[in-house]
Amino acid sequence: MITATTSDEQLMLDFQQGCREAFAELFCRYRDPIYGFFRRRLSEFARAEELAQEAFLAILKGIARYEPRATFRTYLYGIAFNLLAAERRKRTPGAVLALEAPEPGSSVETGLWVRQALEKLDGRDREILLLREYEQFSYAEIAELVRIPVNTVRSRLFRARLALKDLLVSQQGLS
Amino acid sequence: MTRSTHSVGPEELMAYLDGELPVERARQCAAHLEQCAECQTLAADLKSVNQQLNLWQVEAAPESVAGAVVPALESWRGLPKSKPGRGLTAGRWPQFRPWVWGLAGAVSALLVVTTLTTLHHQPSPAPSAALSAPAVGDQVAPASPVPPAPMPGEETQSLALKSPVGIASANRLLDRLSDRTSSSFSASDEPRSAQPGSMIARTASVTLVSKDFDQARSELDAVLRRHNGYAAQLTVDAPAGTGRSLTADLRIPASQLDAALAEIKKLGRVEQETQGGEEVTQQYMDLNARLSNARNTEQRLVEVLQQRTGKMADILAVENEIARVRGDIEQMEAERQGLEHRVAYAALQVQLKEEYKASLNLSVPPPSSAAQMKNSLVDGLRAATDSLLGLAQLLLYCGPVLLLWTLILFWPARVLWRRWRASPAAKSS
Repeated sequence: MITATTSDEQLMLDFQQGCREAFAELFCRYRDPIYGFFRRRLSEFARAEELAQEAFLAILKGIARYEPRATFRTYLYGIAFNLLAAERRKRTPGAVLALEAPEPGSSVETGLWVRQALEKLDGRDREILLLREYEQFSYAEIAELVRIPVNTVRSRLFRARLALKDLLVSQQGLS
Repeated sequence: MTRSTHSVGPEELMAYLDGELPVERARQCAAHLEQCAECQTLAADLKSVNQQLNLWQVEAAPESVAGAVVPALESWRGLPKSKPGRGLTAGRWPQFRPWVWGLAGAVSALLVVTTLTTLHHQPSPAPSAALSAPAVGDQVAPASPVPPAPMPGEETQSLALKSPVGIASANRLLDRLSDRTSSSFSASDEPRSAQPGSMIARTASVTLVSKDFDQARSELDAVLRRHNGYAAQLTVDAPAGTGRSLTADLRIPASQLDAALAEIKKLGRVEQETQGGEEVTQQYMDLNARLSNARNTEQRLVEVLQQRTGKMADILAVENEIARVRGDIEQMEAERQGLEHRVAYAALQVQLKEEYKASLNLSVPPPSSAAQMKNSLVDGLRAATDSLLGLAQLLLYCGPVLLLWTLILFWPARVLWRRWRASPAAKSS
């Protein structure tokens, strides 16, 4: 019996047993967050959509290997993170995760100033900040995803936030 | 209080605000924060950054994201049953570390080798039960705390993205997303024709020949009324010397199209019948997604206009953008209504012909020869008058143009003519 309170991990186990409804429930829960993850990091609307699809397809194909050792959320975002890294490598070999310039015509929007300030941050610090602020990951989960110690996550996050504050203040001063 | 005398470091303070400190340490942090103005400033800065980051919101995922996932899910047949090791979850199997599995594998391999060696030296064959030892390697769990995420392109490439098969299925999933209590998205293998969520614009046309045209016409009106349809266009022709015909472009509620068509076909002999259906689900979903995005954009632009103060040029640019987006939204809403109407009302074209029966009516005598001669004379005079009028009209129409070109070309032509006449060639000829 699938309800709104059924845990993600239980849903994955149910899906392993052949319950497609469980996967549909997971898809419902994570469709928007995963799309948002790619949308914030890629300029192309269509590519973000495709990568979100690929993330769910990867879950589908890798269901046999899934074991609930970590949270499903971390597992899913791990896939998304890998997809994003591959996408970046494909475009600019050797590049770290970086924000892309917005598509022409979409420059006038709420948060444009935030985006511009984020673009100026160091790539690694920015990714940690994004994971914390938009994906709401804990320090430990970020450390697991990015494969760095928790203390490093905390330092980078602090550095990123202070740098962002300075950038936002200077931008507001200019405007 | 200087930073060196703080009992709580700045990063710790941030961790406290993020709820990442243990309870005891968080209590100490809170106590310190109440007393320290410098830390209060830092906390305010961090909260401000957090608030500003929240300004950047992205739109909801388009519904087409489900387009490729659903077909893949439908084609997924579950984990293979023939391999017992596959699909067994950690929830039902004990969680051993990889080295335990490795050791077990080594011991199993040693047992297999030993058994084989023993069997080889025995004269009589023994049941080789050891040969069917399970492939331990299949069940070795990954060492990483996070289960291995499939890399892009590793396995997903075999799945066709945006498969057309998935359009209706995606719609079904979307139906399910909107109503989570529904059980329509089950593992049962329902026939594909049963797709309540599909949006199909149906069309049909039928050509009939009726012996009783008047009755068929009135019956057609009755069918329209019974099925709550209406005539978008209706034309009746009644030329002399041939049967009457009716051409009607009808709109019938899609759910009643079959019943209405069956009744209409009874009005006469069917000469031709065609039916069609256009799947517009994807188009409708895309339109909805674009509409939703446009509305979000408009909302954000309005917020920008309300919250930001900048140069006049920037404000005008935002206002222009709002006007453009509003125009797009209205256009898309009209398109959506059109699509919904096409789906709700099927288009049915009916052509009804009367079966013509020529009648020999001898009661009316043919006209006399004098009358025929007189008619011919009148027709001839009328033709002569018409031709004269036509010629006059042609002259009036072409006259100004001819006059203009005559005036333009007269003098050059005259000069050329005189030169030619003065030339020796002309004289010799």
